[in-house]
Amino acid sequence: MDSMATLRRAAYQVDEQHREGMASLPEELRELHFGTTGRKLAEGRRRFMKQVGLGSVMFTMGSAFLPASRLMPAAWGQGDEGAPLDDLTIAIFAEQVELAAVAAYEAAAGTGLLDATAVEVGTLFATHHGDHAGAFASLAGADATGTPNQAILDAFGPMIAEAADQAAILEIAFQLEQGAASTYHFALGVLGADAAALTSTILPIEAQHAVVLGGVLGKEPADYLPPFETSDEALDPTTYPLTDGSATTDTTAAAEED
Amino acid sequence: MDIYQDEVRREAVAIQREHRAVMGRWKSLLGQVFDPDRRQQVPGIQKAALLGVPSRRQFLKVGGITVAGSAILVACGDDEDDSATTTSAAGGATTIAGGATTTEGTTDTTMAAEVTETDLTLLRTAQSIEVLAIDAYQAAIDSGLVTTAAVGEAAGLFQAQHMDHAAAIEATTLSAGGEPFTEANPYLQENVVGPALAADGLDEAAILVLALDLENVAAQTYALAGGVLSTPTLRQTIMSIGGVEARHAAVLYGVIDGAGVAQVPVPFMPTEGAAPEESWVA
Repeated sequence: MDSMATLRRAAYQVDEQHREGMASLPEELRELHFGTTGRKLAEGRRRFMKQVGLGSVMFTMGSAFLPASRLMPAAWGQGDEGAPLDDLTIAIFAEQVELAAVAAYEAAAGTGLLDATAVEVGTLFATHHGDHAGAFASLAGADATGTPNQAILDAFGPMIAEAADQAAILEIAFQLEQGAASTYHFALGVLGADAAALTSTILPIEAQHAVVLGGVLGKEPADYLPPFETSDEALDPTTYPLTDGSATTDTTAAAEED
Repeated sequence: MDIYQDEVRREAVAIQREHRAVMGRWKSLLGQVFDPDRRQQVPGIQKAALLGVPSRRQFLKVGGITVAGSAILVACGDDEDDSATTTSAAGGATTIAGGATTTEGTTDTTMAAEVTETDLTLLRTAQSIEVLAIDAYQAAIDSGLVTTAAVGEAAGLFQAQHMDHAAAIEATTLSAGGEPFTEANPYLQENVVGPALAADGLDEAAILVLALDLENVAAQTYALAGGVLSTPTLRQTIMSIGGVEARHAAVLYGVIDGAGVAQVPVPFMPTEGAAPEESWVA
């Protein structure tokens, strides 16, 4: 198929660009958020605000000063645990969601049901999710867990293991990508400015992943080209609670158990 | 390439038909809901639902303490209790919605006005980009150079969604007490779109590249705004649009058959290609 060849070629090209760009990302991200660059960016924001008339006043309405649970609709804000979902907690949750996506793509590749193109595209997307996880981990600092969200793996792992064919697996991936985009849309309604700045660069990528998968799946364009991003499909920390960073996680094992 | 041409072509017409039917009512409804003269008649929760954002009343449901300071909800929520108190448990900042006082600041009224000015500049710039895209897609459609049916139909669909976006941004601007900017971005029109459409040898491929450029400018501008706008609600609102522009770009990347083009070319949406300072609409 010409289209698949094009997709494969594109995936290779992107991967090459990506590898070149990502070689030093962890250090750059840390520097970006906590180093000189971060200070310059903060200064840039102040300059922007000054240029558009804000002067030197920084607006600090974000949840840095407010337990996010106070802002959450019921699903995100009224967990039994009652733990506040502040920026840090959301960063950890996002890190775990991203790592779960990485694990899901790896598990999908391991089924042997995907053709070469799907494997290449999945590998690329998994790499992106790994990058996103690293970015959120940088925000979380010492509290980052480096662990996939086990509840997400428990939900999606068996679905991947039981998938009958490639389309079924890609459908799961599509749902995960839509869920990730929707999760970040919701989070943006809660996060403080710094975390929102990062999240605003990640949400569009998950949305683009969904477009690619939706196209490959032959979905209706309305399914992957909505007029607005929404929070409708957001992954809920109440349903997928944070995983203890000391716990071990194995997607394949989880899938095989079923 | 075939994937998107076939799929988009098959469904775009149906989507557009449905879209037009719905959008007539949508625009009318937006006009009614955000008409300053009629604000008192429409609950804030309904306004927020229209924009796909949590309402202040939903915040109240969750925490028992409302959060003020969101330009859109402060403006939208005039029908609600304007004396509602916002309390930050950790920071101690207390703001009175509409009342412009805070335990931290001594110039809350000024700050609120300045924040609104910042937000309004971003909102007005965003609307100008949406109008620019609407006009550019129309020019492309009218040019007769778009000969691939799927491309023409996709252009129509994207144009319709940019109309949705412009309407939503306009409603947000009005809600924030600002004046919408309903013209195409003058700087980008003069320096990007105009020259591109007037270039010798303009053809469908060049139009696709222009469309991709515009979608990327929009997506990157909104990604930037996602870190600059002053309230979570505004940031969420702009990214409800920014994500869609990125989707458009992904489709166009898929349609354009050129070396080095990929549907998801970067792991993070950059902001270097955001609308330049010269294009900001203050």
